[in-house]
Amino acid sequence: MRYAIASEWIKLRSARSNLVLMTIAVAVPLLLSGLIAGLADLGPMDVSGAVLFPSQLCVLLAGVVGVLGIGQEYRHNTIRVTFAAEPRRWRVLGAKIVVTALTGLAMGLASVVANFAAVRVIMALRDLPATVGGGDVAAMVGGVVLCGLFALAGFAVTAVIRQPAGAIPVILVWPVVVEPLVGVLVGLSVDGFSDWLPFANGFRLAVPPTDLGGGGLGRVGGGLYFAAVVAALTVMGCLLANRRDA
Amino acid sequence: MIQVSGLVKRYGARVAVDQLTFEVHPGRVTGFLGPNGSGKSTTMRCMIGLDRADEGSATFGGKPFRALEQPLREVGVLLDAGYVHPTRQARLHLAAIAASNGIARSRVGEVLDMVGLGSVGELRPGAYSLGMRQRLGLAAAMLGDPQVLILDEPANGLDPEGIRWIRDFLAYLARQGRSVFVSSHLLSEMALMADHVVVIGQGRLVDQGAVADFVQRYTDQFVRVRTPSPVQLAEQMRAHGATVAQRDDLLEVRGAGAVEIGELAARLGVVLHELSPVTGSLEDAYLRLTGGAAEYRGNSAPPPSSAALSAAPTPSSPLSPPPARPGEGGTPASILPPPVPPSPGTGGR
Repeated sequence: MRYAIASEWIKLRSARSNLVLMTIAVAVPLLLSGLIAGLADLGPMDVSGAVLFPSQLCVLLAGVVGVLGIGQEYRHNTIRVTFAAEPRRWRVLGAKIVVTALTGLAMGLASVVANFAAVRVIMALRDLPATVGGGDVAAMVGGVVLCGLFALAGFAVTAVIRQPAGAIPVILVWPVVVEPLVGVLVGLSVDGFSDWLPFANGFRLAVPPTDLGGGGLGRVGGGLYFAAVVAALTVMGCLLANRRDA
Repeated sequence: MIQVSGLVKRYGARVAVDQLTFEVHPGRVTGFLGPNGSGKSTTMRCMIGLDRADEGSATFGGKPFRALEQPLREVGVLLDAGYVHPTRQARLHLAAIAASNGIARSRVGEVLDMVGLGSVGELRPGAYSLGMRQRLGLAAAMLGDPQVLILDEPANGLDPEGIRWIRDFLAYLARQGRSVFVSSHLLSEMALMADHVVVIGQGRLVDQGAVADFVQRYTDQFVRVRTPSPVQLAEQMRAHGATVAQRDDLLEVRGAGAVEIGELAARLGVVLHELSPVTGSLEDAYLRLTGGAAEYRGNSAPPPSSAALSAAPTPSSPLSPPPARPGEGGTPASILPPPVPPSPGTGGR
């Protein structure tokens, strides 16, 4: 397994598209956080909001990195080279899961830490008071975890459909457009339906404490529910990748 | 040694590989021949577990591919030169493959040098020609210094120098005692490259054996004689039990060798202008054997020049066909109708 992980690690950092995406995923939210901290009329409780709102881009791009981790292998047929070098596919898939999840977490950590540092420095320069409570820390940790889960979700969706061109729209459009729309439409006739939407629950991980509210499954419950959905998708994707002809 | 036994692969109702059984022995280059769509690539994918065979097995030194702990060290595979990420440096492409089997990073430089890409290893394969990508694929196959090589069309896209290089390279590997299993549609190359052939058609084994035996079984062989005294020589040859066909000053003699004919002519005082054994090529043998097994073919006849060149038999050698002479076209370039080949699968094994 460690050989497979070493191989996946080389693949991840040697593909230019991954490096570009990871750079954008950290740099653009950092710029936005800096602009918010520098220009907006922030109160002492708004620190985590200024950090986490821009980091949603990092979350989505972590999903895309997850897609590309296996999607590029299918697109360029290098999955055949990979499976020929390690025919026990569970090892390859396990290695991809480990590397993908860790990459997502690393992206989230880099983004949240950088944004937090920028917001604190700029607010201090503006002599704005800033308070970071336990709820803020939980939201920021949740933001990091959410990046890891989104990366895994991207991997899982691509393992099922094997087409990065199809998986990228799914991982970008479903959480922010389709699922909310479905929630509203079905929610008109089914009470509490929107409480069980997977991505909406996932996003609760990174909601600032001032916006969390009391409904639904809460931060931890929602996060666990989303993690369970991602795990189920991942298992399904791995079963299919293991069974299908490469 | 590779042993393939009763391999079956179905795609829905279509049987792509049908009870295929053959062996690939060490110390030889074994060619894998078959028309387009005959199941060569599917067979190779099934052998290494990329496609799941519905029945049968393929073993490498007695073990299924999936049971090999570090397969690259035992079986090197090149299925398609296009299986590379176009923007990942060639060196890193190989490094990722090597890492998956715990092969030292230093080996990457060695195999790049081995295939002549040492100076361009930092480039991205997207900038490579097809021939360079073939070499990169071969480098990947050689990473683990394996005893078995499975190569699908490795000469595809190579220039003449590259083709000669790969021919010599595979022969060198076979001389080292490795089992080399290689498919190619370039029959003239296969004739030079392979010691043995496995021929399939519509997923079924058609024949297997040594190239020389294969050519002998499936092509017409005779001695061409030109003499100003054809009638006298023909009568004497027939008296000695040979079969002789005559057209003008040209005789085609079957049932007697060139030495025997030459000695007889000398005894008779008959002048000879030509005395050449004629043997069909691997291409002749292959086309005759797989004629009924081609799944995809055009309906129109090929241009005359191409047809004449591909169908002409080869004096003295089965490997390098001469240009056809006017009036000597056909398969083979004989003044007689072509013989009926042995039935597929019963070819004298």
